[in-house]
Amino acid sequence: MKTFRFMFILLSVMSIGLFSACGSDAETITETVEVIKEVEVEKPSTLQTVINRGTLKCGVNDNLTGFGVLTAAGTFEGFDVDYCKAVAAAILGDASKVEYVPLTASARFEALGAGEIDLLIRNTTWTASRDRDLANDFTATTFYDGQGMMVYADSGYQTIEDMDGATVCVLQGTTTELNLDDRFTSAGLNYTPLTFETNDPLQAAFEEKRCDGWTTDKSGLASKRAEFPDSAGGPAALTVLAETLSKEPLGPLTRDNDSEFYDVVQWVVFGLIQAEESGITSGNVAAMAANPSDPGMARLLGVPFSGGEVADFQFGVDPKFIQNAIAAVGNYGEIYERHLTPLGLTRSGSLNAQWTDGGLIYAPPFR
Amino acid sequence: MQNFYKWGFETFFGSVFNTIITLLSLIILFFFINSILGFISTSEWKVVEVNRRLLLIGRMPPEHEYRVWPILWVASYLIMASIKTWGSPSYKDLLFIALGITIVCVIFTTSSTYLWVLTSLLICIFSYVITSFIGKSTTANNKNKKILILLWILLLPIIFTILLIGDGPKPTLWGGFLLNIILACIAIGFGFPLGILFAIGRASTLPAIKIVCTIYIETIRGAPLVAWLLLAWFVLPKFLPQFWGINEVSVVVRAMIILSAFTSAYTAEVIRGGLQSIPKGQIEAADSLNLGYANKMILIVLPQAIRVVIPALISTFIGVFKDTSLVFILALTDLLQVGRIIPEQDPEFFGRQLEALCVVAFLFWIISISLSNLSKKVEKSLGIGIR
Amino acid sequence: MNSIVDKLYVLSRSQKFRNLIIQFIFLIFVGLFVYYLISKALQLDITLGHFVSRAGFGISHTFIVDYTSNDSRWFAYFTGVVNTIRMCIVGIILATILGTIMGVARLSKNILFSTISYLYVEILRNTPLLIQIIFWQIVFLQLPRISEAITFKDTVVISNRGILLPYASSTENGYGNLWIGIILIAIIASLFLSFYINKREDIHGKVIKLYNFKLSGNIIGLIIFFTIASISFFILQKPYDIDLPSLYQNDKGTYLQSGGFEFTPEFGAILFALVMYTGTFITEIVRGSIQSLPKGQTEAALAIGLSNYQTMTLIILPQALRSIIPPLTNQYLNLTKNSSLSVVIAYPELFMVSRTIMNNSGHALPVFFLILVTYLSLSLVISIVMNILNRRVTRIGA
Repeated sequence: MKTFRFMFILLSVMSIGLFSACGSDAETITETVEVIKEVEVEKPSTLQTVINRGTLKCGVNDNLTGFGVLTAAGTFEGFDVDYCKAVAAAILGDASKVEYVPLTASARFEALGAGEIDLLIRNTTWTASRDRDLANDFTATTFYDGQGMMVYADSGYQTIEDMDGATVCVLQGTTTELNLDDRFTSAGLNYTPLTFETNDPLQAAFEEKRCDGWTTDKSGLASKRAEFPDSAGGPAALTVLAETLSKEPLGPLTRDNDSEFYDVVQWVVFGLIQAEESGITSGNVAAMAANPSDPGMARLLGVPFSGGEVADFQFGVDPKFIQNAIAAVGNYGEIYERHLTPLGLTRSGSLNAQWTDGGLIYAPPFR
Repeated sequence: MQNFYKWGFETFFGSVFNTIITLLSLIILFFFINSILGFISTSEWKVVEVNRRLLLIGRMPPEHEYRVWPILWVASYLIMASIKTWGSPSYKDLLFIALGITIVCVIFTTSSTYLWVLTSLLICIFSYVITSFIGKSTTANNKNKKILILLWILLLPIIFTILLIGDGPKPTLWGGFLLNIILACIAIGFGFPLGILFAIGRASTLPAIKIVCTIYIETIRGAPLVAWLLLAWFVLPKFLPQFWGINEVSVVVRAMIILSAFTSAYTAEVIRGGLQSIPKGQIEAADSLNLGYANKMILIVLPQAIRVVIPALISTFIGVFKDTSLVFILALTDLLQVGRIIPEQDPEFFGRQLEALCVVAFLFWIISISLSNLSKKVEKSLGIGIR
Repeated sequence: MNSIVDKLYVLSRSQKFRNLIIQFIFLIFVGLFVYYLISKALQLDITLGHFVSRAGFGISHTFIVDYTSNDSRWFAYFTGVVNTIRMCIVGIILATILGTIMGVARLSKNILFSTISYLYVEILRNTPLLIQIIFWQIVFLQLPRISEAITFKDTVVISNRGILLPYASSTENGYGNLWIGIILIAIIASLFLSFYINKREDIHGKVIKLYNFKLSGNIIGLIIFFTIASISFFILQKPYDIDLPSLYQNDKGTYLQSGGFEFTPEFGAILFALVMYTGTFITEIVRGSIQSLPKGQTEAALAIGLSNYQTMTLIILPQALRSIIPPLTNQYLNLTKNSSLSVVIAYPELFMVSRTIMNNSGHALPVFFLILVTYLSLSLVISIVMNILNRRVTRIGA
């Protein structure tokens, strides 16, 4: 009985607190926050932290073939994982100095905000609210994706409009969940969303036709489709609808107001793109660095051109950082070839082709 | 023989009601066994076979794998010696233990690890034999008991020394079953003493202390563990002071903090039950001897209170051990999380979730059932529940 | 001078004074700690203002409430709370029934029966609930796919989209709520009446008889209830109708289900896992309580010629109930809290919905407090109900 009275009192106190929080004057709170913020000390930059620590903490996916997957040996591999390696190679000179932190979609931003990781590369879409509200900075786009809908080929669905009344499987904590609702509600279609926390029960549900459609990024769908087992009909049993529900530019994120580290990550991404454009690969990077064919290439690789000065962009890391990154993981095309081509994501003609081939993969000049 | 038939008829078909129950039971048992046989006949264990390392130690790098074995040795020595010293196991118990160890060994022995496993087995047998030898003399036995208790207390520091000494792997790399066991040990190791403090606080006559302890216990027990773990993920880093360098405090440590806090609240409730069961005369007697508050508690009250609630305590600990599987919400790759993601490595493993889950469930089960048998033994030896 | 020192000395030796000082110091430490927490919390956004904005996400299971993605986040949260309560009520009832049966079975002389109970407890109690939830999800997905759904003459539809059962639905005439109101009043009235008649019988020994047939309070209550219910049903022009489930394909080939009561695999998986898991603990509680009763009770009951079944239901269980209820309350609370694990498979209860809100808004702390308060209130309600029950049960015995 006593326990009970205590619980009651506790509850009422908490509710009072909660409701006063609901109705409290936002301004007073902001003022207090400002006062406290002034007292706070300046945080050291992430770049310095990473260099001092000697490892890069990288938030990745452990459950998406092609982008990030945990292998039986206990290591990670994939498109996003290679970018972790590239950044580690650029900053620390060693691609193996990465501490991988597998994250679920719904936990990733907090991990970054809390300092659990330095860098988030987990097929994350660049949106305004995430950039501003969640206090993250998107560096650059590594992969142009779009939200798609995968259905069973024998269902006869051709467009989203056909799917009135359908049940759709979707992951929690993603933009997909919200885009899905926008698309169906605005078209006046009924649907039932089955929202899962992780991929494994979702996949189980889709395989048993618990849902009519599965919506996520098209790359993800392609990878799931490619590995759809033959016992269940193989990839041919599934179709990804042509419609793209939303633009999903994916790329690495850093924390807000962390420009040194932000710049390094951003230019590593650009550097790998530029390397492809200049024809530098992991195989020939050493030869190219020893004897660069033009000043632009020398600037990119951080080596002197015909006995001149080394162009140091003052990134706070080794001027050869792009060279190290290329040596570790290869250029953009190589990374793509290694992880995404096997999934059936053809590059030519897509948004992810080099700009010279009509795509959007474009690096600002190294100058 | 006649008697046997008569007995059989009466137990199974003694009355109409009994007959119905027997038939129902037969149907249920048939269904159960049938589905197990069906599962076994269609199962393929490759998904587990390939990932045995991942299941046991997670992402621990291969060059640090050797650190795990000494821990296993120490633990197996301690467990077997304690079983012999306090458990006085019957042949049936020994058979059960041997069976459990054999199954675990069969699942997890590979060509590269069989020597290590063999050593652990030898240590198990050695420790059992030597303890039974010591047990023959009472003085040696008492000394042995003291050493064992000391070792149990030192177990956590020993584990951490072995894991961390000389540039060991980062806590974020701990995973698999190892992580579950470490988390459970930490949660119990810190939560139990804290729980005692909170229980005493709640039973205190000083209103301020009593109220604060009660608020703590009831708040923690008020929300589910997943919510608290989520708190560890979202909010805890913002609350810990900057000078601790929280950016470097790994999520494993946060999980430990939350699990310990959680365990302390639950053990406090259990121990409070024990405190209430102590006759007032005991306390009055202690007062009349003019023992101080601390002495009264440590020497008189707590030993009796804890003794009464040992079975309940053990089942709380089992609960904590099972609850360590919830750290998936912190993106830690514990045993269950590994079991959930490995079927996705390869299209070949399609539809093999049950096999992976089975092994995971078995590992949790074998530890929990051993603990629960232990609790039954303790219950019996303390004479609780027998009136 | 000396006298003040003396007084102070005496004061410092007094128990009361020392207690005060200890508490004071303790409170200062706690106060500092709380102050620290609050000052840190103020740096974060701790308002719930964003809860009024549009939710923007769909919820798959809505029960009673009619949620759409255009509603506010408050309403989404409320939908989650309703889902949790629904799960808890059904779960608690089923777990109690299962636990009681298995607890009795555990002590049964029928070896088969007690073996089942033994296996059930030892296997399920010692594996994590999370594994069981995932296991039951996989099991429920093994039901036939919707294109091969089993239908029984348009009354039951079984597929892995859900099991549809006939259900009542209000008809067009709009008297549905009125009828529900009348039914509620009828229940209360008949309960009072039957209590009154039973009491009269107990105390004064007055019995209502109809042609030598004794009418007890319970029977009269039931008769009155059914009379009121059926008469008002026809007066209000049949406000409720039996709603048969149906399964059909629209012109695009999508299978649609409508009508009836829907029992989805997600709800089923969580429910089964929670009931089976909590049931094991209730089994142990029931068994312990029965074992703690003196053996003489059973012997005496059998001696006066009661059957095994009667001994159990009339003698043993009512007595055991007294020591069962307090630990049972704990298990009910655990079940409520464990329902938050539905987050792993798509059953949108309050924890899952609030996680989605947290993700969309980015303000974790206030949502977390909301979760805490909600669970505390649920726990409180369960404790209150169980306390009332406990008082009643113990009073009957005394």
